[in-house]
This record gives sequence, structure tokens and C-alpha cells, in this order.
Amino acid sequence: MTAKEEKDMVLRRDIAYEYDGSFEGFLCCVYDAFYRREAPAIFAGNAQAFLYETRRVASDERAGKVLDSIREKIGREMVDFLRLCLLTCLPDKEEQMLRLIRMGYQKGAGVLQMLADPCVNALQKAVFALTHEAHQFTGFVRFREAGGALFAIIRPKNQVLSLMEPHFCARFNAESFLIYDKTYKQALVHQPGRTGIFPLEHFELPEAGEEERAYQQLWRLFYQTIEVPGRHNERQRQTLMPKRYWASLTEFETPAGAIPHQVYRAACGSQPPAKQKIAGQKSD
Amino acid sequence: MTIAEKLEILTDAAKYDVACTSSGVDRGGQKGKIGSATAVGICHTFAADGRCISLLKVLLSNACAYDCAYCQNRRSNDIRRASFTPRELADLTIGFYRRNYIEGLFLSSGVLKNPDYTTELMIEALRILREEYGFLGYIHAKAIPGADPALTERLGYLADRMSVNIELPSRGSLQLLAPEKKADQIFSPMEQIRDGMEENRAALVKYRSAPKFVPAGQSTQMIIGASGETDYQILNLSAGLYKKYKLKRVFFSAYIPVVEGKNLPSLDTKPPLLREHRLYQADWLLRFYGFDAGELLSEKTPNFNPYLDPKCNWAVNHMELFPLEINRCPYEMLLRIPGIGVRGAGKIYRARKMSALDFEDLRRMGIVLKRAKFFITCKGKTMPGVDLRPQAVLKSLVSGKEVIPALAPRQLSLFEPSPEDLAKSISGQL
Repeated sequence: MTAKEEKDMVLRRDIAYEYDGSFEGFLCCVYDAFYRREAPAIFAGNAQAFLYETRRVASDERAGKVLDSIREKIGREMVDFLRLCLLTCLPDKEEQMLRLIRMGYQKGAGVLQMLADPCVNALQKAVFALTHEAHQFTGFVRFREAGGALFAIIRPKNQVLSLMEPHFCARFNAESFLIYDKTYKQALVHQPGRTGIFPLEHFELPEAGEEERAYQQLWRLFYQTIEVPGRHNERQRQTLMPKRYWASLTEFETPAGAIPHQVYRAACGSQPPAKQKIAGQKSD
Repeated sequence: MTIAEKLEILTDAAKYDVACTSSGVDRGGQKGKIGSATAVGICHTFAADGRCISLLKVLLSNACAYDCAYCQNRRSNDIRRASFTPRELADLTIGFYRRNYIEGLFLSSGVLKNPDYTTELMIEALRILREEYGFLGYIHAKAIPGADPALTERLGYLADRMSVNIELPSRGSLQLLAPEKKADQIFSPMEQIRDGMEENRAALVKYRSAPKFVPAGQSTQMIIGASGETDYQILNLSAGLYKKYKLKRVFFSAYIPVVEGKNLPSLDTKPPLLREHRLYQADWLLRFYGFDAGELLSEKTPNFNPYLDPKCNWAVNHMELFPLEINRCPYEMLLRIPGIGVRGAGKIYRARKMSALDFEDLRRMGIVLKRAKFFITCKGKTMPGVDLRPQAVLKSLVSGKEVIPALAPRQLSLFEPSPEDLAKSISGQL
């Protein structure tokens, strides 16, 4: 590397970008970072700027150019991977993604296989956590029926709704349903022939009717009966189904809405928490 | 009798059946219908015993005409009896499925009147689900031994997976404990399902829209610890079953005494959970790691070592093959390193193409080195600080933690070998 090239590689670091959180917005950040030779801290939404100078990056047609360039020089898989990265809850995901793109321009498509690299590794792990969580929610979503439609609330760590959409829309394509993501305040809404994900500030499950309560009771009965007592294994249950999922699972509710004491005590060997904490409205 | 009472009785009667997988078939949704299936399977919750619940697992009826000694539903046992009507069962399944409680239905049954009658009721329940409700979710149905082959075939076109329990790991044990079930009665539906699947595959080549027969394959289960077979016999039997009947899975069920019988272990016998665990580990090695049954056990050592998992046990007995260089050894050998699984081997295989890996890289990639460190080198070096003398290796591998208390619910005995003794006895073989 010549001295001139080395000088060119020096990136300005004491700057922050602010963007709208969309994939297009992020690609525009990439555009700016490359053309201005900057390695910014990037924030989605209207996050507070730190000590750095903050620049607002608009989403515009630059996104398409960056997208074409990445697709051509690094590959289509990189684009798919970056889309997933943006849905994860990794705190510094945008900076890591930018780093990954820089590496990608040097190494090509193989960069995604460099699992020993700290940056690739962090992103691969985060994406695995995202897709794994989305898969788990295909099982752990519990619908409540009211007026012929189905409603559910989830509290995911990652933005899983768009990954869950194909599964639930195929499975319940003739039904009307709504899955509310309480963490990111958005809702997946499906009616036969129409689907979309919309921002939604607040949502509460509708009151359960008689038939709904009967099915919930039957399900709890099944859940409690199916255990083979001679094989009781609390540790394994919690490994496979961590506690954070429990609050929205019908099988842990009583008709009044709380986890039955004996179940909870068996689970954690202590007193159950205060009732309102587990009534399904807990915000972690 | 209310639905709730029936559900309780018939769940209780079905819960000792092990299989609850919803895997093996991909089927997208269809317009106006309900349900789909994914090949990886989906767990919807986990019971307090840590087992996955993915299907509504119930019996159609527990009013059984047979009197098998080990079974809690045997005729002579004084318990509450119940039967679902096919429509009750279908309605319950759909009610649960719409709320996303379950992935589908696992339907088994005691022999109500006779095998044909029972199978007809099962067919009717599945017909209502598939035809009236347009249900495309997962269905696992038990074939009832002794039923008319035409009925079993009809069941196979409605279900995704079928299974016939061989119950006990030898003809002798079956004769002793389940005299009304004949071994041939068990194997003939297995053969029928295997042949049906093969014919169906040929038909599907010609006509893409031909109806599918047992698309997710068949499985079986056997009870471990109710009779005297060794692990070697059991493993050989299961390897044979995979081969001969093209099974998708062989399940093992640690025997839990639910009834008293003169030919059975006493009621206070603890289920041999650790033994079951070892058999599953070995089963995995056969199916995904390229091991042969004969490599893991032999006539001379017919049972698994309670202190070492089967792969570790194999490795310490083949120290001449180790250490393996992580950056060069073939994929098949990566799979044979204790502590490295299919996912880990895949990651190493991909990552080492880009750059040579060292121990720090492995750790960052999430490879657990606790056991692997004794069997590998990175860039020609063993891990710093690792004591490779056989005694030390064994002592670390045979840690008491491997015998998880929950898995080995038994009292310590003065006459049982301690982990240290065991280490000595194994190292004697080195």
C-alpha cells in the first residue's frame, strides 16, 4: 500500500448520522460514508446525538445506486443478509454492517463465510438470533378469537413480524388475524387477500367470550395432563422455552389471567410475582 | 361425559407415547383452506418434563380389548374409560389449531372392539378434518396392528406420518409382556407402509397431483428397561429397522412403571432416563454422523458407559486417530470430534476456507472446546495449558456433571465404580 493510498484510507470517525431506520435510509448512509470518507456512528429514528456532530441523512434515489453496486460487486446474498441485519436488535448493527460492506468490497461474496472475523461473527450471530426467534414465534404465538377474527400479542427482542408473515398468512389464509408486536409497536394484519404491517401505538386483546374461555381451559387441561411426572425436568423446559415467552402463553394463565401458583412455583421455586406483572401487560 | 373429562382421560392415556414431532413434510397453505406444514417441524410449547408439544396427542379411545402387561390401558386395569366421537376430535383439533396451540393431531387408540372398527373411527375423524374442514396441518396416525390392510392404506392417505410401535426390543419380550400382540402383526403394517410409500413415489413421478401416501414417513418406538435386552441389541435392532423399513425415526421410551405385573420391574423402579439419553445420542451418531452401530458397542462391551457420551467413549478408544488438525481434516472427521456437532462442523468447514483458524477463532464462532480441546490442533498446535496425558484427559471428560442429577435419579452405591475408578478402567483399554 502506498503512502497516498494509506492516507486515503483514513476515515473520519467523530461524526454521527441520523436516518429514518429504513433499509433505503441505511443505504443512503452507506453512500455518504463512502463518498465523504467517514466511519460514522449511525442512529435510527430521532436518537439523541452524542458529542459528535450529527448529520441527518435523507432517504432518496442514492439507495438504488448503492443497492446495485452491492449486488454487483459483493452479491445478492449480501443484500438479503443486510436486510436481515437491520431487523436485529444488535445495538451497533449499522456500524457493523457498514464495516461488513467495506470488507465485502475487498473480499467479495466470501466475506459472509468469514465466521472467525469479529464483525461478520457478530452480525451472523445476531441474524441467527433473529431467524431463530421468528421460528420460535411460529409456535409460541397464541391467538384469541373474538367475533370470528384472531388476535395475538408478542414481545419479541428482534423485529420478527416480517419474517413471520409468510408462515401465518399461508397457514391462516382464509382467516382474519392480527399479531401485535408490543416491542416495536407494529401490527401484522391479515384478511383474506390482503396483508400488511402497520405501525400501531397501542393495542389490547379483546375480551374473551364464552367459547374462547372454554378452549383456553381445555388447552390448559391438556398442557397439564400431558406431562409425565416421573420425568419432570424444569431446566430443560426453560432452556427450550425461556421465561420471557411465558407471559403471553395461554397455558400459563388462569382464567383470571395469572400463572397458576403451583405451576409458577414448580418453575422457579419461589413465590409468583405480583399479579399485574404477569397478566399479559408486562412491558419488559 | 364432558369434552374436558374425555380430554383429560385420553391425554393421560396417550402421554407415554414418545413421538410428538411434526416434521418431514412441507406443504404450503391453500386458498380457502386452513393449515400448512413445514419440514423442520414446529414446537408450540414444552411440558414441565421438558418435552416438546407440537401435536394434540390423544387416544381416540382407551377402552382397550387387549391386556398387555406393561400398558396402563390394559383391559384388566381398573381405570376410567372414555372415547371421543370422530366429530368431537375433529372439532377440538380445529379449535386448538386456529388458536395456534398446536401443529396438528397425533392420533392413537386402544383397540376398541377390534382393530378394524378402531381404524374405521380414526379414518372418519381424519376424513372430517381433511375433507370437511379443509385441514392441511400435520397428522400423525398410529396404525393399529391387525387391521385390514385396505383400512391401513386409507389411513395412510389421510395422514402425514404413520407409526407402528414395536413396543419391546425382542420377540421374546413381546411374547412375555404383550402376548396378544404378535410380532408379525406389527411388522406387516410396517412393510405395507414402506411398500405403499415406494409405490406412491413412483406414481408421483408420473402424476404430480397423485394423492400422497404417508409423505412424512413412518416411525416406531420401543420401551427401554422393561425387559432384559442390552444397548447393543437395541441399537442393532434400530439400525436394522432404519435399513429394512426405511423408518424416519426410532424412538426410545424409558420404561415408567404404571402397572404391577409379575414379569415387570417393580413399581418403585425409576425410569432409566440416562440410558434412554445415551441411546438417543447413539441414534443421532448413526443417522447424522456416519457412525456404524458396531463402532459404538460390541458383544464384549454391550452397554453404554454412563459416564461418557458414546462419541467421547469412541474417541478415547481411538486415540490413535487424534489429534486432528482443525484446518485440514476432512468434514467426516470433524463430525467425529467430541463436542463438535453438525452445525459446528459446518461452520468450521466454511470458515476455514477463508482463513486458517486458531483456538480464539473457534471460541468466537461458538464452538465449545470443553471436550474438543483434547482432540484437536489449530495450525499444528494443541491448546495452551491442555494436559494431554491419557489419565488427565479421562479425568476431565468423566466429570460428574455429565451425569446430570435429573437424568440419573439413582442413589449412590458403595459398590458402584466412582468416576475415578471408571477412568482407570477405561484407560486400561488405551
